[in-house]
Amino acid sequence: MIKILASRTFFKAVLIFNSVIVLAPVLFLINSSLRETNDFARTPMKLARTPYWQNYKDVGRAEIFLFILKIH
Amino acid sequence: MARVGIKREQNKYAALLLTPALAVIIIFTSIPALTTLSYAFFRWKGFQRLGFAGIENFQRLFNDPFKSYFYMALRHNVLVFIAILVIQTSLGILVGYALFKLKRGHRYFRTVVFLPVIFSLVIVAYMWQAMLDPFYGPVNYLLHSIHWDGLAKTWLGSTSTALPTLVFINLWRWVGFPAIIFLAGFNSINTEFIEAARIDGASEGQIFRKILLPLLAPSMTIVTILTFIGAFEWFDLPYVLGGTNGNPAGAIDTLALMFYRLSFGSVDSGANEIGVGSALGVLIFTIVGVGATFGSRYLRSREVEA
Repeated sequence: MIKILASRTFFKAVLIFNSVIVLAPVLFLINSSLRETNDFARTPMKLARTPYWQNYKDVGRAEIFLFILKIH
Repeated sequence: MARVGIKREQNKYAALLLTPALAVIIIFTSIPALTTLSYAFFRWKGFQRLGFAGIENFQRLFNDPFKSYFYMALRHNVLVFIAILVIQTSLGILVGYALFKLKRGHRYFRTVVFLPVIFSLVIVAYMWQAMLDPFYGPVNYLLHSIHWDGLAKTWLGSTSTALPTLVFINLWRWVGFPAIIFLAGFNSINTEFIEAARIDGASEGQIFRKILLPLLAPSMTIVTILTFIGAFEWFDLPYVLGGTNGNPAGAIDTLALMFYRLSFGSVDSGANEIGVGSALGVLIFTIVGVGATFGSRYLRSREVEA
């Protein structure tokens, strides 16, 4: 019984570790997308407590983005 | 007599139904492949075809200045294949088995495991470039904060770490794929074998080694062959992170990158060499074709029936 529980814990730990490795870069990308460029350059690891939505507005306004959207 | 007539009618419909698919394969696969093969036997000036050259382009590929680049790129492809095959397959089996053993949270973990596979490669490359940045990247930040300063490196900028780093990024992106294939393999194994082994007193390790792993051979064959093809056609990630020359200093140069450079030219390496590029293309095609055929034949002969 202890062996089975130990093996289950081990495999759960493997999956949790895998989740951390997979999600860390994704979360870093999302966090940096919600921060102002200069602020990000100063303190890259800080969390975006007040999201800077302007980045998304700028992407939506960028001519190249609209051009690509039209093509596809 | 009537049976022969029906058979002939069936064959006619089969041919009719196969025609569109065959036409697509011939137009988009066979003709371009044969055209490339023919390009390898001609002399070229830019994109202008000159006279017949015989095997001159192949000879030039194995002489200076191309020889050293070719062997370096080939060495990188072989190293990447070995590293990915060993690490990715082992991790794939481990994660697949962990998913197989899981009682709760199946949907979440399966999604997370497969998530990187669906990301665009350019986004993956950008994400890891940011993660590994020597100035603001979290990886080096973490290493500095736990006082492992010696381990903090310019991961993508140094010739000694660039290739292993790329292999790691490739693993991050693709490990979910073999994991899901192996999970499907584990799920297709008849549980009666496992139960019978348990009744006979076999431990979990013995069940895994003696029953599950041999029955996983068909999945292993698929993963090995796909890894082989992927490793010898590795282009996208080195191109996005290292440019056409596989920078830094050709540390991540591959055969496919060299083919691109030779066929289309680049800012650093100058004008294109379509003849030599096509010769390299033929060689890559041969390596992949012969390797995949013999590899799959050998691996299939070792498979056991469940």
